Amino acid sequence: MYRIESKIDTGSSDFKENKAAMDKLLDELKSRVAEVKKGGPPHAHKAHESRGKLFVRERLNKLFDPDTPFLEFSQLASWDMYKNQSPSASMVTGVGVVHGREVMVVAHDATVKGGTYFPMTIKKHIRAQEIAMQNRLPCIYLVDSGGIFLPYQSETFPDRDHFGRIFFNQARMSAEGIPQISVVLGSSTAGGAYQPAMSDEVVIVRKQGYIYIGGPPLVKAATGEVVSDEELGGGDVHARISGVADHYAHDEVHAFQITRNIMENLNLPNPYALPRSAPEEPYYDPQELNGIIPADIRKPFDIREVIARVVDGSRFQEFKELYGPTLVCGFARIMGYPVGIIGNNGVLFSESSVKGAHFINLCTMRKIPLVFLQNITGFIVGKEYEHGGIARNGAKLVHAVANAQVPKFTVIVGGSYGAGNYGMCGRGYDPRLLWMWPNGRISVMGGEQAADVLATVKKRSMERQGKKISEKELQEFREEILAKYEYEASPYYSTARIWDDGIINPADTRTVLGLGIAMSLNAPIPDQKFGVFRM
Amino acid sequence: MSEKIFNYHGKDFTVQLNLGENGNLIAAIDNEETPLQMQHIDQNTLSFQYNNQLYNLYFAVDKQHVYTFVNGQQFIFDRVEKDANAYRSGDAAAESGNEITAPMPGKIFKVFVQPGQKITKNDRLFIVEAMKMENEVKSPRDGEVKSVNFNEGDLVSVGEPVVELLPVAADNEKEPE
Amino acid sequence: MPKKEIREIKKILIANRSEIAVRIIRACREMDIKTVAIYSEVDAAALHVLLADQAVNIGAAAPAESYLNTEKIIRAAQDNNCDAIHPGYGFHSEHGGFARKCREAGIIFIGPSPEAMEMVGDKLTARKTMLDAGIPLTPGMKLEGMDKKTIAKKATEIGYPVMVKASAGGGGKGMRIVHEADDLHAAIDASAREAQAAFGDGTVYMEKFIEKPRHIEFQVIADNYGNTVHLFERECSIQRRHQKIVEESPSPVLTEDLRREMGETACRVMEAVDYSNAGTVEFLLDQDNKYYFLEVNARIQVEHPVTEMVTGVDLVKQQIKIASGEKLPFTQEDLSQRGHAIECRIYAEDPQNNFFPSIGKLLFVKEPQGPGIRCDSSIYSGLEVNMHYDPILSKLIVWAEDRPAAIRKMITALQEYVILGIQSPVPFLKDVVEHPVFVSGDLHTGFIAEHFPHWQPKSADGLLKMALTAAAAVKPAKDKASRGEKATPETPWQSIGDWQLLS
Repeated sequence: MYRIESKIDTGSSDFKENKAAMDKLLDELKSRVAEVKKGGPPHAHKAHESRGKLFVRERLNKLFDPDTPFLEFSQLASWDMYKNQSPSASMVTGVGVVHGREVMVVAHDATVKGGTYFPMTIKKHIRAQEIAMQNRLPCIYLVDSGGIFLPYQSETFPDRDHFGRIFFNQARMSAEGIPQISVVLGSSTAGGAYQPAMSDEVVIVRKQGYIYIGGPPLVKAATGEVVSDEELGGGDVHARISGVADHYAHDEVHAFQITRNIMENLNLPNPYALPRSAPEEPYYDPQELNGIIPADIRKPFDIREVIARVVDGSRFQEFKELYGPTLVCGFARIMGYPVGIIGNNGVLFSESSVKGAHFINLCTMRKIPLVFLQNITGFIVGKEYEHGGIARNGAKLVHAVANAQVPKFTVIVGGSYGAGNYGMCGRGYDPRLLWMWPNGRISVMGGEQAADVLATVKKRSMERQGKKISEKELQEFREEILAKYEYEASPYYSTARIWDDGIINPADTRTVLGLGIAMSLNAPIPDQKFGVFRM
Repeated sequence: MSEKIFNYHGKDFTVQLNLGENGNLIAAIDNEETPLQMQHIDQNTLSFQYNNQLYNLYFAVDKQHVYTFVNGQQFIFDRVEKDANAYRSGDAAAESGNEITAPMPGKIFKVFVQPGQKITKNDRLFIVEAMKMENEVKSPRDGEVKSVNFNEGDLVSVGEPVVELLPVAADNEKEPE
Repeated sequence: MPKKEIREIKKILIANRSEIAVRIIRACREMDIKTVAIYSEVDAAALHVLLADQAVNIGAAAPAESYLNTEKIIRAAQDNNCDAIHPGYGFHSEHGGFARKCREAGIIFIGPSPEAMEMVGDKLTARKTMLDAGIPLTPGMKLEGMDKKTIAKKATEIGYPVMVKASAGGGGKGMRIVHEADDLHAAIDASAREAQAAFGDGTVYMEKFIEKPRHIEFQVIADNYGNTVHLFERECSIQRRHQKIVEESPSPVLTEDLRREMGETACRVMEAVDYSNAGTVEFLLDQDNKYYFLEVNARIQVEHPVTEMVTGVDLVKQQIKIASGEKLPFTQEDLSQRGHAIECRIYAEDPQNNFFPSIGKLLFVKEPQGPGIRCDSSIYSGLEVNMHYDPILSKLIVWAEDRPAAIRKMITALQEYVILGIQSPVPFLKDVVEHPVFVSGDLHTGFIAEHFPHWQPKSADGLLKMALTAAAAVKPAKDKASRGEKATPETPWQSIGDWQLLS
């Protein structure tokens, strides 16, 4: 394959300025991630430790194979929400390796409000289950949670994607042969008791893990019966009397040994055999990405420079290079896996949309995973383009994206605005994983355009009411809108609400994509099926 | 994930490497933390800074071992599978339980032990007669008999503790009773 | 007696392997002599094979099939037009029969004549020759037919302690050490009973028991024209299971007078058997600095480098020159010792496990460097150490101005001698040369047994921590796909290693 020839001058002042800006964003990101990784407050750590319990990340270390990666999701979930009471949304989710196979882990962090569920905790848990379902990954739940965080009960309890969905998903996955395993390391109370109860196999740690529908205080209130945690739902009760637990662990280390033994005996089918060549590092250093992405989001950059720092050997076979050039399509390999890459080099026109649909069709036919590199302000507007059927042609791209059942991966490398987000496989289009770069912006339109549009609407409405609005008032109004958009378009706003699976270091793009593709192959790739393309 | 277990001279060491806040490496060896600096020099050499002293450490690996040499000392480590030493739930239960209960309702046919008696694992404790069968109950562990709660000829229900053992020392420390 | 004529040597077959073969090849290179290596099937990638001008596969691994196969070796030398064969040490080096076959085939054997070799090779003949030549021997006698009184008198003559042992066998059977006359007869009776039981022969032998002897040997070199000189002594008292492991020159204990006397004695020993080429006369030295002839090693010795380091004479080159008929280029007066040299033998054996062989693939080798450091080595990273032959890997030799400096240099060099993949003997050797008693020079052949009966590596907490950290930081080696089989690349989940987002 042809090797992309980079035109970047790493000695240029632009490069240095861009790099300085991106490094600053990265430092901020790293410090925020480090902050939330600490979990709850020090006193909660002390209490946790005094019970002889391991911290959540220590647990993961005991569970996973040595020398293997851990791909964590939604690290900054609920960032700047709930008065920051729920760092990382009180739990760690991610994919790791046990006995050579990828597994999804959902692990409560009991140092954060006793591991209780905030609204975003539920979203994070369900998102992890969704990833497990789509990619057929066995689920291991490390249970140490007091259930729902009661002050937020109305946002956590009754709706379709609220607490109950967790158990629904467990049942559905179990039915599909996706193993569900719970390791009870702390409390598993009330609704939470269903998490182990709904699992295929349950491990409980003696004198540490507790499962009950109603805890001792509730029992006393309801029936007057006085009972200890241990008598009510300890390991001995569930392993010897109730049969709720299947494996009785002496301590946490033993619990993870048992869990690893369970994984050893799942008899999982082999992953889908996507033909693979020998992996090759990119010719151009991925670290250079920091200097390539302009500090100013409005400045364009050639997406091929990004592709060159993601794909094997920086080799890329471009498709329809001369047609619809604002959408770059082509074949490449990432860590040896074949991929079709679609990246933005400007606004989407009719030609670029149709080209994209064609290219997606090639990939679904050939069962090649798709990678979307989003940097899109939207579809073109204007009389000429409406007459040319941009809506119809844009719809072809959206249709193709929506129905493409090959594994899809999206990385927002710049802006993600309007319907461009849809055409480029935004969250609503079920990419297996969606990652955000720290410079990414996401909103229905750019802040300035939105401010202009809303200011015009406001002015007209005032005029209709016979009122006048001063230029100063209008300017204040505009600035208010701008500030709101600026805040809400931030990647932290997005990632806090789990619109993405995490913000990544641009240099890690290749790694997360490689891991994602390998992980996705635990599920078969179905034959293509499309509906009506409006021609 | 980096936690690993190595055997050196018959002893297992659990090692976990973390990055400290200043970028130094923190090696947690059996939960004891040691800060040091480590730099990869080539595929067989690492440079360490430990206690303000520089060391060159040479290493080589095969599938099972890590060979290291530093300052004229050689350490050969055996990799230990994380779950290689997993034991059965039953063993864990046996270690923990102090009460030896009747496996089914019936009559105490015979009691072999008395309070204060030292016993070893698999010693006969008592026999429960039920459904025309004699069910012999053996000691799940070494220990000392604390009490015998039934006499020969008594009727017992399932799960009733017939013999109680003195708790093992580790349990005493954890859960004072 | 070798012919007194010059025969040019243009090509030599080296009938050996390992570090000595490498040593000889290097000497030949410097002398512009071509070399032919021989190797057994398991040695195809050995260093001596890689360094020689030509190499001949001589047969199966078993020494009798290869390095001891006289016919094949001589045929290989003839086929490849070799003028001479260098036997190294071990294998054929002291076989008079082999030397004779070489002579019959018209090939120069680089070593003494078969006659001299045979005279010193047979212990009894050698003892008799030495007695006749007035060389001091450990006094001793068979006790057959002597009465108790005579025996007691003889014992007093020899001087207590004496050792009583079975004439017929070895292995310590029937061996008794007697410190005073009162115990003598009981010991002889017991020894005779045991000897009778063990060997069916109750004959008992009595000799002087030398307590804590030192092993001192003299390097001698003689040409074909009757010129014999010695190149001073080597002290080789550091032994385990009768195998030398640390040697040095000069000995810390010899006085100038004793050195001269022993050296002259060594020359006389060699002259008594009409010896030519390089050889070594071994003595035991007792605590009163009395010396006793032990035996002659009619070959180049493993420990020859310490002599080379202090005398500046290249012994292997001299061997070749003498074999080709050249005269010694120096006289005794020309020779002197300068500074101090120590050698440690690097064996593939496990000092923690009774020095049993430790075989396997050398995953990484890094040899020490620096002024005064010499490494006579046969190893490299990737070499497979097999179990068929003497497990010597290399010899580390240091030279410095005096003994304390040489010891420091040896410790430093050992610290930089990296051998990974097998149990390295380096930590043990380092402990030996660091030992205060070694440093004091108070050596005897039981030193290792006395001071290192069950050696264990020092517990060094800090080093262990670093080593464990390193172990945790590196990934295990992967299985290689067998030949013909296409390797399926590992998935990123297997190949990336310990990695996390933003950590």
